[in-house]
Amino acid sequence: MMRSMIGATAVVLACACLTICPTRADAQIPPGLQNPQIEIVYAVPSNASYRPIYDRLKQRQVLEELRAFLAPLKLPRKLTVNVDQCGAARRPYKPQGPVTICYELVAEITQTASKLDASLQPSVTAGAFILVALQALAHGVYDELQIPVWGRMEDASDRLAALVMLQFGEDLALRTILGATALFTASGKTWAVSDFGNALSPDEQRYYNYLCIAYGGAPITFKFLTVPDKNGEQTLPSARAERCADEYAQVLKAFNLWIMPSVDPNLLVRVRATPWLQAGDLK
Amino acid sequence: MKMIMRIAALALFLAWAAASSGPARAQGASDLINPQISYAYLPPKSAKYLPMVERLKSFQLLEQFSQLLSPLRLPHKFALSTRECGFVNAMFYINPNADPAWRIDVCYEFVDAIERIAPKQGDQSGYTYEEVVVGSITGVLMHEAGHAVFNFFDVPVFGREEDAADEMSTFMALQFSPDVSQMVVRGFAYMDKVWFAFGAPLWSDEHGSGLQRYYNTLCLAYGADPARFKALLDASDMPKDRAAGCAGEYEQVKAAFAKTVYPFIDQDMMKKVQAKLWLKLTPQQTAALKQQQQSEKQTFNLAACNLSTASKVSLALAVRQVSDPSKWEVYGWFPIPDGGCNYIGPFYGDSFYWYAFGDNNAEWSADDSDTTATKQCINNSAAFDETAGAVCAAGQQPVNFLRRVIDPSSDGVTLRLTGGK
Repeated sequence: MMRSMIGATAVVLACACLTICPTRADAQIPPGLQNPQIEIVYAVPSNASYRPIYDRLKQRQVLEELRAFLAPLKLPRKLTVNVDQCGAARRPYKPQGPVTICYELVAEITQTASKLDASLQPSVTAGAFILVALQALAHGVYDELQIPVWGRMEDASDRLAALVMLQFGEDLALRTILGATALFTASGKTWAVSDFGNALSPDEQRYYNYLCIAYGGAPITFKFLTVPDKNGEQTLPSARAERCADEYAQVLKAFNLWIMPSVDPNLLVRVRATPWLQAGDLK
Repeated sequence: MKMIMRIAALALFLAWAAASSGPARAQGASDLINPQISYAYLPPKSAKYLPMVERLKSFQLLEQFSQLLSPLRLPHKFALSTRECGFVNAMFYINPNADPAWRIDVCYEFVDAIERIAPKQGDQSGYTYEEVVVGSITGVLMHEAGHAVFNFFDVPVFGREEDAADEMSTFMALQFSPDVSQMVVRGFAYMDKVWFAFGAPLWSDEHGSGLQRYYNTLCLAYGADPARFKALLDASDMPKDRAAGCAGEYEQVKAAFAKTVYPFIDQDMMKKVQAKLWLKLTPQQTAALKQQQQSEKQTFNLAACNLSTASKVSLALAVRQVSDPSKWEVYGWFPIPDGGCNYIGPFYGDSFYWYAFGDNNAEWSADDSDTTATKQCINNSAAFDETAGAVCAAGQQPVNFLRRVIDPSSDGVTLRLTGGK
């Protein structure tokens, strides 16, 4: 059964944040980190209840920061990334874009985080948002670079998002994975027969997919996922955990073959040296 | 080791090591020969599988499959085997101590389970015994061949490999004649829906749930050939927005195949493979299947209705395991809508046990004096899936399940929940 990993992760995260998580009043886009092929749009929501989200994202320059994060990616044509009111939590990606992050999903993230301890809310909110954004962007990247994708596209996008977030240090990995899994844990959705026909996998399954890539790629950081609790149960069951290194290696191999040739190595080093996703982001 | 389904008895696999040096043959008489591929029907330890081995041999299962794979430019030797495994499965794996090391095995126990779950005479599912047995075994072999191809050619896989192997299986089937594609898609879909969908989904598993795999297969087939597979899709209750994207899903797989696998295929050989008539049964083979069908015991459909005043009613079941009918599995929960009915699913066996509860302490259970009842563990706050007879774990409690015997002349059972104590 899917379990909240807030408790276990909170301790690790809190320790990390004590030393490396300054609170920022606004975004600081590193100079020189730009991606001219990515266009960003903050669509004004017609539903007034999403207006505060619109204001906050715009003021925090979230899409600008995301574009800077993607500076090393050499795209063959323009890709628009927007935040918009979708009428649902997600708007499926269509060939040639745009990539859309829905206000509805951001609201869902904020609401989920609001149920958590106040000290964790900024981390969970920012972490969940960045993975949601990367997951949406992965569709655009697969399409733009004409990458062959075996497996369900939504899962492939989840795996790519998780892989990317493991490349920027322990703190960011913990925060994004914690944020994403907190979102899945809190959804509480039950499944009818036809729901299994959806292109998007059930939250419970996505939860384990993210944890598996995280554990496979950073087994020391995420070792706590495999430590049995007082009932002898692990957050990530052994039967899956023992295959996670292979799962991670599989996505990494695919990334290196199909995406790395489109990544500027000099800009990648600069992106990796930049502190992303500070505790005050999206607060 | 890449497998078609999750299993618990992997340890038994090791016992096979000694048998791996059994007789291997070159492919049958045909111009579709790939010298890298060998096959063997390994003798079973249990006499009960001997008729099955003869049946598989008469169908030339491995001969045909090795010919089907003959256009692959394999980097090394590769063996196909049928054998008694001690568990129910089919798998691609690498055993460095075997020759050749790269292997696909189909367990006799797996074939046995397929034959048991396939539609019986008079079944109203719309599927035939022949297409389920022949189609699903072929589909499973193609799934394992998918894992093998990913390994042989170092194919990059961004998604979950088990889903990717299912995609490979369905995609391969769709490249052949309409008869072959129909048989494999329908057989694989039936297996996913009826067998693999048993029990609560194990979300942490690397495989998708049975129903997800069912819908994935249908979606690819419909995406490739909407006219041919529309009826199957219409009967599936697939969400409309998913169905609308199936052509795109098929194109995604087609593009992935073209970029990552096609370069490793001998095109002249492939044309010969596609031109050959596959899965065409002789009258003798059809008769053998019919005879086997008649020997199988029944499956039944189960539905449940809440006709009581209780709300939020949930149902738990104890049913025979498909893979080993001598064992029972207990699991829950199936929600029953207030004042309405739910189709619970198809099950195997001649009887089952059930328990239900709802709001305001409503409960349907057997009295302690009921000698036909069985006491089993439940967890009424979370989904559970256990082998019957286990000691109750933390958070579980024992309750008395009611017994229900299936009328062999009926299609199934509808539980009508009234009252409730």
